[in-house]
Amino acid sequence: MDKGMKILVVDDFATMRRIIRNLLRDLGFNNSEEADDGVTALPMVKTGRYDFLITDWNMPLMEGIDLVRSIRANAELRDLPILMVTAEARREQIVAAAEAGVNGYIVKPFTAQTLEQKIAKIFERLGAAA
Amino acid sequence: MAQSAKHIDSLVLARRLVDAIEAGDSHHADDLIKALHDGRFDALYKEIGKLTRDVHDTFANLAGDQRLVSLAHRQMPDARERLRYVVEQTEQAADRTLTAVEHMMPMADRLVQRASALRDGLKSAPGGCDARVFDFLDIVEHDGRKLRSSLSEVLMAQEYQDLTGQVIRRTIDLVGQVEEKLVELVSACGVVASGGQVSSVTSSATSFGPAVREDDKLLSRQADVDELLANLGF
Repeated sequence: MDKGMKILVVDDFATMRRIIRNLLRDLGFNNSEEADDGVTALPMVKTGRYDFLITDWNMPLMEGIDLVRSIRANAELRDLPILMVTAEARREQIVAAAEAGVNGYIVKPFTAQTLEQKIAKIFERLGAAA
Repeated sequence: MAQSAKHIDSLVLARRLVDAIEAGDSHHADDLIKALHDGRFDALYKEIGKLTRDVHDTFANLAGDQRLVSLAHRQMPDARERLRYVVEQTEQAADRTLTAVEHMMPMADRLVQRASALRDGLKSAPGGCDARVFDFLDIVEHDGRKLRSSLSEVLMAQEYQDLTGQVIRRTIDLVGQVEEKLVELVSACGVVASGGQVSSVTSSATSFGPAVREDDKLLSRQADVDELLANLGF
């Protein structure tokens, strides 16, 4: 896993974006940017500058799940690893997220350790698949 | 009583109807059928009339209820405003906490690194060094690490702002929907706000809680409060 990879953190709550980016820094990922909603995030992702996306689900204009679907439907972006970090914890939602193509799913409230483990797992799997 | 009298009337009519049919008097039988039929509908119309009056009275009472006007036009919007205030305040508090934590984390890191580097340097220094200095550097390094991990805890704890914020936003939506229905009801009933002050449900309260919005009656800034007090001779 490349610690210099560019990460986009998408959440409508500034507090959460800040927490996640701090945690990422603690884990050695110093190259992160943020967006407050799917509508803002999608054009950013389309620039192709990002190596990893961390997104919330429940956001005002474009929900995280729709962002995931849009990315997976785009031939150039479909391989972007995505981790969903959300308070949505219903079984059917997690199933829907998996079907939409997320690589990992963290339920809020979460711990720094959980974030570390999930990121490690995602890149471990991608490494094995490559 | 009225019910049983009506029943007997119907019974008498029915018997006469049977007699008329048996006697082959179809003209009379038709009259009797009509009488039976009308009797039933009379009762139905009376019931509908009663219900209509009840509904009318209820709406008339609603029209005179100023509390409903106050709820729809004042207290529900106020409740939404208060909830928004909670979201704003918790966001600001979380933001301040995060700023302080982000400020302190590198300090803790620096303490650990410097203490460790200094100890290593002193170990190889000619002539050695007082053991108390090493003890001190050990404590700095140990406490520095603890400080760092506690700061991470404080950072993570700010997550509450996102979680409670989401719950409150949903509640604001819900209050908004109820308010909309209430406003519709109030206007459908033709309730008109009376000219005077509409007393609120909590009109006996003398405290109003924190100032949740800019309002000429509210002094949210300490400078405004001070100025008012100064004008009052304090």
